[in-house]
Amino acid sequence: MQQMMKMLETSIFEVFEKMFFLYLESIEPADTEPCLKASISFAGAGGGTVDLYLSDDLAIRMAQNMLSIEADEVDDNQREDCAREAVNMICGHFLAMTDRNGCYDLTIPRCEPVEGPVPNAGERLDYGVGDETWAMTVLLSESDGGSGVNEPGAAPGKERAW
Amino acid sequence: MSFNVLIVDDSCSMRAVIKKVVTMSGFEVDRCFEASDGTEALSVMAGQWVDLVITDINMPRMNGIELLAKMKEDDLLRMIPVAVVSTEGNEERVREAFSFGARGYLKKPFLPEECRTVLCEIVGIEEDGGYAADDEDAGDLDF
Repeated sequence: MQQMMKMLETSIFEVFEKMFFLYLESIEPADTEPCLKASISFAGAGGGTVDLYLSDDLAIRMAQNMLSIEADEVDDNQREDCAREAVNMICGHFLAMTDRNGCYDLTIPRCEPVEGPVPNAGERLDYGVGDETWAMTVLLSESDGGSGVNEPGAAPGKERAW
Repeated sequence: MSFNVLIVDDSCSMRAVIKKVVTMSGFEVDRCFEASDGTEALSVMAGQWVDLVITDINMPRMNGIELLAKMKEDDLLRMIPVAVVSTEGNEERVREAFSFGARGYLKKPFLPEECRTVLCEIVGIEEDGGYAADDEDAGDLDF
């Protein structure tokens, strides 16, 4: 599982650096209140869901950088669209890293405003941007009865529990 | 020569990014059309000539593989070069896209120069903006 989370983190870093020109820093889990949640589910050799919980500031900076516009030009649709695209790329890149021969179906990513703290569910990663201030939490959870994705090194097509 | 380009992606942000890369890619863009899924893309191509299609795979209504399959069935549309730009990077999905007629595949996330390389290969121009065919013919010109 630790190795899976390492690969998920690599995917997160690559997506944010290449598409949003943002350099994330891993931080300890913090009590925070995100403004947006973007999610995508996958099914194949295993199944699960990746959820991004984003701070308002990070969601704006993502749209600002991806679209090359000023912060005050970013609207709600752009924030949510960029968050959906982020979780889509993170999940797709992560699954390709875990098993190049595996074939997964991804759902259409979704995004919604949220209130309250990040729930305690699944495996969790927390990030700041440039300092220790919380900016994003990523949750990876497996679907019922499924074992997520193949661990690297597994025989082709053979499922392994996380 | 300038190209009519059709960008197919359900994310308007990703369409904007690809559009920007395309217009900075060293080949002239005459018109740039956008569609949010395969169904919309076919509607655009029914009314406009398109020289290059750049499509995502994971889209609602009609996904990129279904779009490729529809284009392959049509004598005219099958001639249009298609580049797939998708998060889905596993080999089976890539093979599937090529088997349905895709000529290039770019995995998201991508750097602008990676996108440019794939697009230039597909339309047959050098990355410095020159045309590959022109370079080959250059030595044959007799003034």
